[in-house]
Amino acid sequence: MPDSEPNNPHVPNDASLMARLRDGDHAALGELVRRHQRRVLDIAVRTLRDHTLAEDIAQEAFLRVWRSAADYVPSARFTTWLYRIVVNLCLDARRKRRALLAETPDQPDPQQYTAEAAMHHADRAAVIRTALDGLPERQRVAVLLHKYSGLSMREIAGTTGWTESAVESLLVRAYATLRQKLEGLDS
Amino acid sequence: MLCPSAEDLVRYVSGEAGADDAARVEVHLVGCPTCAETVAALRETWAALDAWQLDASGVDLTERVLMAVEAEEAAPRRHRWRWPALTRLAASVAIAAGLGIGAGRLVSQSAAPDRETAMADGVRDEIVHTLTSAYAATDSATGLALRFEPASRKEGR
Ligand SMILES: [Zn+2]
Repeated sequence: MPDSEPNNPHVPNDASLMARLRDGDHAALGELVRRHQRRVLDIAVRTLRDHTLAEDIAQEAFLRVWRSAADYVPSARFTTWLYRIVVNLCLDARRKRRALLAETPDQPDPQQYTAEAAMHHADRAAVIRTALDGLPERQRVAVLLHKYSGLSMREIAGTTGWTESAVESLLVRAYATLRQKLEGLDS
Repeated sequence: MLCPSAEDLVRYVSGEAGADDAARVEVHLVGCPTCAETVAALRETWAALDAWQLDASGVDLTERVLMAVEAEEAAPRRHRWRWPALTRLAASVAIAAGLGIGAGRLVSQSAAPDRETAMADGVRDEIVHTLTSAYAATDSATGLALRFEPASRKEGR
């Protein structure tokens, strides 16, 4: 997926939009949302597997961008910072969801649904989601960012705060596991 | 000939290897059936994962976000935060528990893509409520809630 920040010198880059936002220009925030929402939503939907919650999380992520604009230092790429906020929120939401579902015994584990859906429907996308759900959390996050968000290993390291060598080994192990789980699945 | 590392082969398949590295891998693959097989398998996995496509193209959050910003600016600092999703908080977790079964059945019948999580609104809203409240609590102290520790520490490697 190509980066959504324009290269055209006449179009403001993310850092200058953040500077305008710091000065109270809401239109700059609107532009940042338009520019990055697709990729933010993609991460949130794939991580949370719930569109409504993903939209709420994406909204919260952009609100945090706005709230933090005054303190924002453009040392890293804007997207690295933005994705870090999003991933962080998504993982918090997943943890919270697990805790809530554990408190209410009538709510079955979401994972059972994916397995069931996969078996009943032999749906390739469902098989993939089930395989991804079976990965340990950090491996799953790494694959989502690598495969679906198109981030390099270095960018994933910047986004998650993990070392690049940790990201490398997470991905190697994740793809090896996925290979076994997806064997025989026509692509 | 020394084999490329497993992560270099992943980089090669994902297309993030530089031109020089990619060329070196290609030369190596000609003479190394083991790595050639690894790459073939990685390619297959990489391609298989493409079957999970999302369509979020119709969603535009711009209005929502700007409205939430205006609402937050208008609100007194102490009571900041509310947002539209929270109006749904009326649905309690208790109700959610009841709905969960029905929603689950619906899901296993229709396998609605990306909605298998079968979560009732009450649960969803509770999650959102917690996250926004947690932010409000740390907001003035740190300005940012960007720590990543919980996920990594809890799970280890
Ligand atoms: Zn080799």
